[in-house]
Amino acid sequence: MATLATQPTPNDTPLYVIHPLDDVHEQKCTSEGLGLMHLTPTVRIALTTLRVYLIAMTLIILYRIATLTHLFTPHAH
Amino acid sequence: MTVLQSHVTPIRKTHVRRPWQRTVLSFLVAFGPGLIVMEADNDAGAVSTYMQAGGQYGLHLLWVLVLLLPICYFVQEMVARLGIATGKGHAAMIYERFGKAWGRFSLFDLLAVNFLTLITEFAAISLAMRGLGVAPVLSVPLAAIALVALIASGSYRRWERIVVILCLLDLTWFLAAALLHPNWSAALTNTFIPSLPHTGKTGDLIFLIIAIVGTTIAPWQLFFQQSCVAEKRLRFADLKWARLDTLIGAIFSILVAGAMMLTGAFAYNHHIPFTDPAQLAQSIATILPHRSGIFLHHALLLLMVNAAVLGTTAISLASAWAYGEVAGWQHSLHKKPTEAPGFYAVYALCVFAAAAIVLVPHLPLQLVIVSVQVFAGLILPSAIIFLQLLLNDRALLGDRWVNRPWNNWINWSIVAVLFTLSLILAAQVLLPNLFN
Repeated sequence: MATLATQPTPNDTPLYVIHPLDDVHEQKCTSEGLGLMHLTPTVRIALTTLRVYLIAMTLIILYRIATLTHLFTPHAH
Repeated sequence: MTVLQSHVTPIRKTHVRRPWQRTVLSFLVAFGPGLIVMEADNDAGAVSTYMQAGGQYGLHLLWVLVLLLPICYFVQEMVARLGIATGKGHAAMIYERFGKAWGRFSLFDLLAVNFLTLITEFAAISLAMRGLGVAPVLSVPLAAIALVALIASGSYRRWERIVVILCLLDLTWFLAAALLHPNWSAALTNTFIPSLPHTGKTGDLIFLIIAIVGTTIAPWQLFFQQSCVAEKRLRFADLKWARLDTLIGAIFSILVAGAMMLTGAFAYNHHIPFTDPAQLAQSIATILPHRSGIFLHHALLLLMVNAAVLGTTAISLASAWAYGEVAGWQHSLHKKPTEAPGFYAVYALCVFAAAAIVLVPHLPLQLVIVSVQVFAGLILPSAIIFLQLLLNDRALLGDRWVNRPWNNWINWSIVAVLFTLSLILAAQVLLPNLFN
């Protein structure tokens, strides 16, 4: 693991701090080879419902905005 | 999960003499993303919302801010933890773990709400600078150029230092509030003892409370902090400092929000009607003695600009990082514009397009502000659900980084509250007279 700082040591040992950007790269948790997250059927249904809800609400709000900006009102001549 | 150990010698060390110096310096080198994400959230829209809350209801809504403090902290702590554990941004993790469809969907939502928010930031810059005697046609393009120049140096450290200084300039809010001689005892009481205004529950009050929640926790914050933590390459051992950074940022942000509300409460106490903070600054200048009036007028307008600048750079970066992660482009402030052209182009496009729209005459700004609040309120709970699922991804994170059961209880409660508010907000927008 990259070193953040020295461990508690006797007084004669030099203490130092390393900035994260100056430190060696740490090997992080990676999803390589894991594929997509395993979702239970309940979670899958909940996420699909969430997507439908978000799309429907976005459309309703867009319609509301369009109404407020008089987008659907015919121009008076 | 794979966590390997590296034994390569670090490039540069800073030697210290005492263990406490090492502790302080270890914190300072990790410090930044937490403060920036929290303080940038006190952007132009937040200034307007908090001052309106103070102007309409005096000190009665201060307690809402106290309730929001733990919510802010717990949500952003998860983001920081995920960023440190994976070294990747939030958009990249959604894309990798939930697939392209959800990745693109989340990205589209984020970019849309971010862009609308950016328009409000430039509108505030235009309004505030006009109050200082600078025409929008000059102030808005200059601000846009300065905001692009801020990141174009190819140095994350330089950007972070400048932005932390801008965050600390917000300390001036405390001076501004103090100069208006608020009733400190009433402020303290209203902070810790929830009370409703004399008007009782009205549609306006509910809308304002939801707006306060919506402006205090925004979807871009999740994406921003995780990318920022990854950009700063915070290490596993930095987690405790990242948590402290986030906590300090959350407390500072809530205190500044309180100072904004106290400033707005001056209008409530003196029966000053105002529609935006610039108008209130003008009224304050005419009521207070000349010297303090002029000082407060200039200070409030410049603080508005500062809030908008902080918001713009953080939100544009959130968009640019997220787009770069999903598109697979180079997306780092460590790279020069020639090395990561797509990343810088997205940032510049967000900034210049929002600035250009603000210069369009007769822009229905109020509509944009309402749309921002509604969209943000709509997206936030779903964004937190993904975060929650990712933080329970044991295959990716292992036992060390996943949420503990108490984390999950707190976070699902937050999701439930935000979903309820999101539904009320949507209902309020669709049926404006629902609560009246």
